Amino acid sequence: MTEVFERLLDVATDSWADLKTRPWIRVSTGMMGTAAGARDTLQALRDHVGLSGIQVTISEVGTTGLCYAEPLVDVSMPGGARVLYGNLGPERVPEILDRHIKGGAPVVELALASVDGDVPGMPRREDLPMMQHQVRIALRNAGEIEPANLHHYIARGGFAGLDKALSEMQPDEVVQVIRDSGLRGRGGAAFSTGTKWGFLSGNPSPIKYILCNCEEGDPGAFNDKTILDTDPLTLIEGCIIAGYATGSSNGIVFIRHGNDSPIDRTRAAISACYANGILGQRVMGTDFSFDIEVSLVGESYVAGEETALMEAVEGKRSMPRFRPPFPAAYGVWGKPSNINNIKTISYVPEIVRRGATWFNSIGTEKSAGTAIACLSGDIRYPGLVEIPFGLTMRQVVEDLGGGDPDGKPIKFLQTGGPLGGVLPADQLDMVLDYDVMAASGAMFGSGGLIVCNETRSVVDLVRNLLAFDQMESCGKCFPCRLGTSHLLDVFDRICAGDSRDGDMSLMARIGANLRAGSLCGHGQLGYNPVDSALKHFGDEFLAQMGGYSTLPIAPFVGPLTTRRGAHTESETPTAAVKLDFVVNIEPVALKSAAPEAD
Amino acid sequence: MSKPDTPASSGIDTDGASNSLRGRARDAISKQPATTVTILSSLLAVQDELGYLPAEAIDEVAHRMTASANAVWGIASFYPNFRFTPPNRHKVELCWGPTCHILGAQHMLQGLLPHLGLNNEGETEDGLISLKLNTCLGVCAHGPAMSFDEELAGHMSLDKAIHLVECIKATDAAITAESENEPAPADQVPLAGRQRSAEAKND
Repeated sequence: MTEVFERLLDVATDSWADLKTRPWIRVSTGMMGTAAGARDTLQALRDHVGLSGIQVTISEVGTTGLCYAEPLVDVSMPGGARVLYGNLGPERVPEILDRHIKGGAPVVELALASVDGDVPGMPRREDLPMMQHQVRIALRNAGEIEPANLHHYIARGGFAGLDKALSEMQPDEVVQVIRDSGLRGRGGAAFSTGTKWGFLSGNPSPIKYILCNCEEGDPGAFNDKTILDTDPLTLIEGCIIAGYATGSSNGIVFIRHGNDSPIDRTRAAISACYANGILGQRVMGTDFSFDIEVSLVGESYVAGEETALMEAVEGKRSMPRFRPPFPAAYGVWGKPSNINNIKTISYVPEIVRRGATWFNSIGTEKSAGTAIACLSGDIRYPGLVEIPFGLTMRQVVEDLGGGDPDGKPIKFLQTGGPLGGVLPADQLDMVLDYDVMAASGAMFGSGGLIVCNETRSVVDLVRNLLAFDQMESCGKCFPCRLGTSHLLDVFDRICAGDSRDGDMSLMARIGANLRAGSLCGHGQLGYNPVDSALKHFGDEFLAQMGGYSTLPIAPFVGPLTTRRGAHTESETPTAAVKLDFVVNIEPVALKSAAPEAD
Repeated sequence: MSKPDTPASSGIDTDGASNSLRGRARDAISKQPATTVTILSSLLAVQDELGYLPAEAIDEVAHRMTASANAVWGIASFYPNFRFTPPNRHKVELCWGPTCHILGAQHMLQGLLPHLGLNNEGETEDGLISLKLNTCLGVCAHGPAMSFDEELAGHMSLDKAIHLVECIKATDAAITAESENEPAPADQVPLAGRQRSAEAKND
């Protein structure tokens, strides 16, 4: 054990024990909580506590994943029960303070569940429908600790993995552990992480980059942002371990601009690490040095593609590069780089701490560990779940998610993001496993599961995905730039009841061109939603095109801005500059051209 | 995030306004927290400070990064979160991602647009609200989602959306009245920010 870590562990253990000597209230804020109104609840708590003068600690934590119960307030008493209060509006705050904090008796009728012990009249947290089957590794600290609090993180086993790697393991051994663990990339491609690291560790360059990808532009997915919102230190620890294993010098956490809460919390966590000798020169007093910074990108879905991401880190348009050269040879700023999804990196600390065999024993043979799924749409318990591979989609949607809130039959799931497809209800028994899903043409992608009941139109949903795909096409490859828009045009006509003979074959032709003529996944997979919808719901398309469909199609208003320049000429700040340019240059060009013409 | 200056009503002091825009852009560029400064990071910093990218900002970024104005404009025009005209005083965003879509985002939009006097995303004529469609606000579990002045609001409905827009109008009017040296009585100042969404939630 390094001295730095030993000292930190002592302080952290004391500070964690000290927390337990007073009532401790954790409010789930961050993006999820805020959207549910948790800031009102937090304000009410602070106001009432301030007035009453009770000695309590109030912490802002990230979401627990139980988003359906937000605003969620977690009250623990010294030596007493820990109770979760769900859907707690500000008006119920005084009651909780009076009865639970002052009176010492949990308010059973407002409680969602008890944690670490039984309280008569309420279920235990692990018995909640949404918590069954869950195994929490990457989300182990979700809602448990203050996101950027180093002491909380260390007290719950944090940085033990990094300390173990630095003091007991050679870099190659760390790579081997990750390879043996069977960890595969969680961004969608499911490539072996250990193998990927191996590409980078073999490169002798003194400057190498570890890029952590939290672009997460997929509508319907919110797991990357949530990890940064609820436990950024897991990501940071994983990133430092990745840096040590591959001999890298720098880490970059890449986040979409506008996600303020994850950005702020990640930055705070990084500062805390610098202040405590965990980042910077001589990490934990060893000879290994590593820096991490946050890099922000504008709104661009394609920026999540690994080479486009490197362009964005360099501050350019996020357009994909040609490969080869691959990032491990020529990456960001021309230096060797490794790009992993946030979720992938977040597993690393626990794998190193607890060993490859432990991780490999969870999940299925070829898909080790857990999957983090985002449940939304027509579902009783929307939120975030971490489940071992090997469960069926039906277990995820019906057992954990509770099915449709009104008990309507589920018609299909939209999985794999806007380039994924639809999974009809009769395939819900499909096992969650990368290879099983890929073999049957379904995608788990980055984990967004949008549940749609029988009242939803597939045609309507696919048009929404196509509108997204055409807007987000970066424009580099014309089959994608034009094809995505052409597909949307055809869909608009179909939705407007104006379909033509040959539309089906036209779409198939566009799809073939998209797949063959695009550099990155955006174009290559752009036809996927249409393809899978036609395969499973062909009849519904025929009904829509024949004018006898009874399912509602929403009149659709999409955004005006696309990457192809909807900003008008008069709005461009360089319009004046361009004009100057023409006025100054043109006469010169004419003069110099004239003699040559003779 | 600070709001851009209200344009001078007379429009005479254009040089002064421009210089101050330039100065603020320059400050924003030099005060970035990231150690790696790029054209994109500088543009984001200016947009955060001013709410849009005026010609001066493009110029300043080009100067600071030793790039041409066209190179900077090429990057700025690629990302749809940049805008090149001053926004209205309040920003309302509506998510049109697939989850929000099936849960009624288009219905909300179809009702909200006529209420604001708009046909699509854009600026209301009274200078009050800029409406923007967002591809995903990231809180799908609480869809349909909107955001009001960067504050997320989940489980929205058309009624709540109109109510919150009216709250913004009332708050804005109260602030305008206050700035004209007529402080409104405390009990008449509409609820601001977080309390606002609480009130709407209880409707």
